[in-house]
Amino acid sequence: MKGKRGDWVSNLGLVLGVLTGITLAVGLYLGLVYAPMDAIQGNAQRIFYIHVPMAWVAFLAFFVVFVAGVMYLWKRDLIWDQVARSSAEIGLVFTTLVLITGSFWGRPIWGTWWTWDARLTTTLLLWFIFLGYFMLRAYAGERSRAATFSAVIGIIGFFDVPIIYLSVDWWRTLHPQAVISVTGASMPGQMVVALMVCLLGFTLLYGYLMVQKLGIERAKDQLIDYQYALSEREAEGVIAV
Amino acid sequence: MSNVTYLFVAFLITWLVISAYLWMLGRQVQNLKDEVESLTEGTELNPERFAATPLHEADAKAAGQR
Repeated sequence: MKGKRGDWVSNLGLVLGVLTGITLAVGLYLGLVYAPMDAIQGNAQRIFYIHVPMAWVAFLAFFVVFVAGVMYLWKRDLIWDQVARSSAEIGLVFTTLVLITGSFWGRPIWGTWWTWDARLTTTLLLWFIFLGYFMLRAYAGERSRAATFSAVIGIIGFFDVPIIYLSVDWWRTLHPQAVISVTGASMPGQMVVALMVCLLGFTLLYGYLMVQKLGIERAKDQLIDYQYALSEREAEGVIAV
Repeated sequence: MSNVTYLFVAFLITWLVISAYLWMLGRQVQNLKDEVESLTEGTELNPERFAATPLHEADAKAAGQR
């Protein structure tokens, strides 16, 4: 019933799930035990090992939404809409977690849960854009119209991502600048190793969630087609349910 | 709250949200399976027979009927 494609996707999901579990477990050990405690921030700095990878995953997810949105507007194939809405949902979940973990990091270090800092504000804006993305989908009605509208929102919304990234360079902010760049890292090697493993773990988690969510979105669309085909045949009197 | 408490709560919320999201995906799969079962029940139709229906065609026809 599932066919070769279904088996292949199921195996991919299984492999990604196992790899994600192992990598995240190792990453958490490295972040919580192996990496040294920050001399100034103390243990609160260890939030960094989940906060930064989740921000990376959110950016990656919205980049996928951007690419899938462009592809949908170009090809008009609903598979791209399925990819975009799957990735947008995962991106929204991770942006929510980035805002929450950022607050829990900011409170002991900055003395406040929230401040209208450029990076925090632009990240909150991104969260609202993609919340709007799903509200729009809910009210757009027909699938092709919802897909077109949300592709446009997804493309426009993605332009906030480079603004978020560069906000710490463009404006004077409380939020620290990037600790890793192409020229090197401004932290001890053990911290870099822990961060890299966590980045890999969360990227694999994104891949795993995408496989699961995309499968669900494809199945939802196929079900709608099936219901439509069934009602057509009922109307033609081909079948009696 | 001490620094360790902030760290603990941040990690706890993160894993709770991710676990809840995974559970929600599992529920969606189950609901879809139930829906397919209820649709195929009592008919000789095979869902895969209609899986290839061009989506835009279906949308256009549905719009035309309204």
